Formats: sequence, C-alpha cells, structure tokens
Amino acid sequence: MLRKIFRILIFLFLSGCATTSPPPTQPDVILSESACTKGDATINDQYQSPPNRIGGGEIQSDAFHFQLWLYCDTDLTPPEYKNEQSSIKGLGIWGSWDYQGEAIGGSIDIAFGPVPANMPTLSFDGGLTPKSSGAFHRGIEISQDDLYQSVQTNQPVRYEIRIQTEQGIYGATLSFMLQPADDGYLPVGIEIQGIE
Amino acid sequence: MKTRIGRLVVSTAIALSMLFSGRGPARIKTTLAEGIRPPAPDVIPAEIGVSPITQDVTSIDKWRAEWTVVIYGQGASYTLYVTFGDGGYLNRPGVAPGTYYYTWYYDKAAPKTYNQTWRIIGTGGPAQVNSTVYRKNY
Repeated sequence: MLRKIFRILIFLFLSGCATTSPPPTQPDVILSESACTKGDATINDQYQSPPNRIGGGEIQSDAFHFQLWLYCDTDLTPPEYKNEQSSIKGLGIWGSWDYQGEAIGGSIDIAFGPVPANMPTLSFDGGLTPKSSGAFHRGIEISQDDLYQSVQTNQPVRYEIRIQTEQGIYGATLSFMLQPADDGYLPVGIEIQGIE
Repeated sequence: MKTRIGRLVVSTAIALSMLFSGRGPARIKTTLAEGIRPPAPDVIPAEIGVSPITQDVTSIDKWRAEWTVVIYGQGASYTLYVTFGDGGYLNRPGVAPGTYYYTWYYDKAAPKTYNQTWRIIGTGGPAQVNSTVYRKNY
C-alpha cells in the first residue's frame, strides 16, 4: 500500500515538474550585419538627420513636411542623439517635422513611436509659426515578442510621427518588413506614407 | 644703451623714408567711415528663465519631464531653440515674450542624465539657460 502511495507521489511530483518547466524561448530578432552596409554616411542635411541611414524618406502633409528614417548605429549608448535602448540592437529611427503654414495658436501635441502605441513625445502651448521644426531620435521601442509576431505573421513594423493642432492631425508613417537572413534580419520594403 | 640706439636708428629710418617718399608725417583723420551709424539706444538684455532647473523622471509618469519657460525682452518675438539632451530638438521662431509650458517624454531605459539647453535669439539676445533631467530606474 505504501509503495503505491509512494509511486503516486513520485508520479505527481514528476508531472508537476513537467508542467512547470519553461516553454521554449523564441529567437531574438536581431539585425543582420549586412543591413548596415548600404548606409549612407555622407548625408547630413539641415535637419541634422543621422548618418548611416538605410531607408526612409520624406513626405508633405498639408503645411507640414515630415522625414522618417531608419538608421544604423552599432552602439546606441553614447550621449546626445542616441538613446540606449533599442529592441533591435544597432537599429534606430529618426523623425523630423517642419511647419510651413500660417501662424496658428493653441496647444501642440506631438507623438512619435511605434504604431499602435501612439506615444506622446512633446507638448507645448503658444501654437506654431512658420519655420517651426523639431526632431526625435529613438531606438526601436517594440518588444521582442511583438517583433517576432510581426515576422511570423508577415506584418510590417510601423512607426509614426503625429502632430495634433487645433487645425487638425498631420503625420507620417514609416513601415518596414523584417526579412530573415543568415545572421539575423534585414529591414526591407522601407516605405513612408501619410497617416490615415 | 644698445636698445636706445636701435630705436633711434629705426625711427630715423622711418622719418627719412617718409621724407623722401613725399608722404610727410602721419595724420589722424577724424572722419567717420561710410556705413558707421550713431550709437544705438540702450537695449535691455533679453532673458530666458526655466523652471525647474533639475528634475527626476520615472516610470510612474512615463518618463515625462515638464518645464515652465519665461521669455523676457523688448523684442516683439524671439526664436527659441531647445535641445532635450537625447538628440531631440525644437526650433520655434516668432515666440512672443511670455510664459510657456513644455512637456517632453524620455525613452525608457537605464538611468541617465540629460542636459537641456534653452536659447533665445532676438532683440537684446541671445540668452541661454540650461536644465537637467535625471532618469531614474523606477
């Protein structure tokens, strides 16, 4: 009788161990080294955009002009325009805006980040005057789980810059796919378009 | 003694060369050059004030920093240029003297210090003030 109870206890113990063992981990989405070999290190225009841009572009949305670029940086930790964190090591995103319309009043709210998170970034009052401008540098602020999901479902990663004024909402979206390569992933199909 | 003799020789040489070149001794002219304007009236220096000068940002407030910015000056408007210390910047021309409120969200990452610069350009300027944000790990 005792043996039976002992066996049952052993069985329960082992089955309990089996259920608490960690699930297999998914591989990290990392940047292929070849992703950065096409970076343009010579472009650095009036908007102080980063060197080593690998894709993106610019777009006009009413009186706003937007730029969104993916760029390579092997180490996103030094001071100034680089933030420490990027879910995809070595990959950053840069966005800029400038306003070319008439002066408008009221508060201005600017969001810059992954879609659909719509992260607030800058707010100020006093409106906008012609030639107002600004820029943001960030690492990729998307969790590895979400990045992996994008790869598995073949969905693009999307980043957005969105400006809300009393006149309306203006912005641009950068999207790209993560294509598997031998040593990681390549950002491909990098496109910019106006927000919906 | 040698130095005195040297100076005498040099000054004599200059005087002789002026005499023989026909230019005569140098004269001080008091006429104003073209383009020079009379002194401008006094301009009160422009100033910019930022509060707080230092602050912490934490996850509780989603790493949000806030400032009150006051611009003083005689000009109708100023260009305000702000750098937020993380590569982000804001350029605002045509900002009238007054009080303004700014909010900036920092990236979520390891503890770090960000230094901001607030600079105005215009009548009585430029003027600049610096502030600091400490990003905490909680």
